[in-house]
This record gives sequence, structure tokens and C-alpha cells, in this order.
Amino acid sequence: MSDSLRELLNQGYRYALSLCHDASRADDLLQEGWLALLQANGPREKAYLFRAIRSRYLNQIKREKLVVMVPLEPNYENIQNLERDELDNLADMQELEQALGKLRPVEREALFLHAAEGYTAEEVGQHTGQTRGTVLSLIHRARHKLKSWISQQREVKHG
Amino acid sequence: MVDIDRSVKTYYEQAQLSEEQLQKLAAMQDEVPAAQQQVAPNQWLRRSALAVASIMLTVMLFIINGQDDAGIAERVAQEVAMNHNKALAVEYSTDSYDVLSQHMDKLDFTLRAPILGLNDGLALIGGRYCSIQGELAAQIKMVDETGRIYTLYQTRSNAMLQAINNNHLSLEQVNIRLWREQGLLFALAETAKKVELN
Repeated sequence: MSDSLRELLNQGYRYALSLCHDASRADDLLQEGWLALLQANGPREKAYLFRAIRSRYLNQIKREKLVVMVPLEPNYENIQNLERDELDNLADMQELEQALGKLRPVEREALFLHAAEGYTAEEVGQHTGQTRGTVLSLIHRARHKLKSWISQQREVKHG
Repeated sequence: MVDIDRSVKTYYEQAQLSEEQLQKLAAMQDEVPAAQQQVAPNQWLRRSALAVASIMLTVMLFIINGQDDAGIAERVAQEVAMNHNKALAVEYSTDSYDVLSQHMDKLDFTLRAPILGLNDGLALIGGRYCSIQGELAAQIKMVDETGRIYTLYQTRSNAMLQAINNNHLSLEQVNIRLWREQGLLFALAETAKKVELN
């Protein structure tokens, strides 16, 4: 197997994981998305695989609205700066995994695409059909929730 | 990049498919027949006309002959076989369809014991969500008196799946039986028995 195919499949798996936050379900989503891509003879490219996975995920949760209304907030441009005083030493992956499970799928997806895949908010918006402002807001909320939840857990743990 | 983003990146980078999963997905490239070829831009009109004619012909064949769509049956069977072979654990353990149906409340139909096509003596172990051709479905695990595991799939029989009639297929060492009843599509999968060579 080529390294590029290995990387593509792992990227698909991680994206599926960001949507459902469940390893076996992510495996299912990847398999279904990959199968659809092969059956359609689509390009073996990340954007197409992600789209196929997202489509299957949306079908699965068609009764739960993935598209959310996010109220407008000022100063989206400054969100990056506001986040610079993040928690230090955020290396406890188990803690982070639990915190990620507290996010809504749309928040986790936006944060994954931005932080792990390096997409700009504009690109995330193109992929998910949301405006740049909505994406920035989702990312901001995701970071804030992660930070708050981890802080609370640490306070409980250390009194 | 802010610290929390870096941690999220690290978290997801650690998530890797196993070698077995990778090989299985890679092998699908050779196993799955492509449904269509890439269309050159200057040929799209001709291809579109052919596609429309093909669809009309298919619809006419359905109307006139009421034929089963072997293609969709095979695709469903392929998905069922792969899910069966993965042998994933159940999310909800129970021996009752009623209880399972209460747990799996995202389904837009009520889970039920099939009337047709199922041998007596299969005991329900539990179930989990899955999907069949993009349609939300239940994967129900059952066991017979010898300990042999079966998986039963139930999903709403939508317009595409309506084309499937009673069917028996064998794929990837899995025997699959497909049938419809009570407005649902059922698929029963069992691992094919190995032939002993003496």
C-alpha cells in the first residue's frame, strides 16, 4: 500500500472521528464513505473522501440537526488573539478526549478541520456550507468549552 | 497556533487505523466495481443523453417486468458482508426486540422480529446502529444453539431498496439472505461454513 493511500485513509478516519467521537462508528463511516467513493469512481482525494463521509454522517443523524444557528458575535477577527492565554500543559490526551466528547459535532468538526487539518475558516465554511463568521464562532466556542471543561476537571481533581 | 489547537492536532494525529483495517480498505479498491467513469467535459451532452435514455429504459424494464435490481441487491449484500465480518460489539445488550427498539430511538421504524426467512432457535444478543446505502439501519446480533453468530439488518425500505426482492448471495465468505416484509428491508448474514479438506 502506498504511503499516500495510507495517509488518505487515516485522514478520513480522523475526520469521521471528529464528527462522531466514537472509534468504531468512525470506522463504519470511513468504510461507507470510501465504498461510495470507489463505487462512484471518484478521485482518491481528501476533499472527496471527507465529503462522502460527511454525507453519510448527515444521513445517519438526519433527525438531529447538524446545522446550527449561531448568534452573531462581534470581533470575529480578534478571536485568534483572545485565545492566546490558553491553558498550559494541555498534554493529557485522556482529559482532552473526554472534553472533545462534550462538544457538539459541528464544533468538533470545525475545530478539527481548522486545528488538525490546517484549513482556514473560509475553507471550513466552503466544506460545511457555513459562513466564515459562523465557522469562527464555532471554533471559538469549541476552544472555550474545552478550556472550561478541562479547568473544571482539574479544579475538582486538585481541590 | 494556540495551545489548545496544538493539543487537538496531536490528539487526532494519534488516531490511526490498524494495519488490518488499512489493508481491508485498500483491498476494496480491487473488489468494488466503479459505477461510472470520469466524463470528459466535451462529452457531457452525449453522456447525459445516454444516461437519460438508460434511466428511462431501466424504469420501463421495472414497470414491464417487475424485475429485481441485482445491482442494488449486490451493493447491499456487500455492505452487509463487510459489517458482518467486522464483528463489532453491540451497543445495546438485550434479548428483547421491544427493549432494543426503545434504546434505538433514532430509527424511524419499530424494530421487530421478522416473520419470514428466519430460522427458529436464534436468540437475540443485542444491536447497534449502522447504515445500509446511506439509510439508517439496525444491526442486530443473534446466536444459535451451537454458538454460531448471525447478524440481522433492518432498515426502512426506501425507493431504491424497494427494488430488492428475495435474494441469496455469498460474498466475502458470508452467506446473505435479503427479503422485504412489513415495509422493511431485512438482511441476514452468517459466516459460510468452511469445507474441511481431508
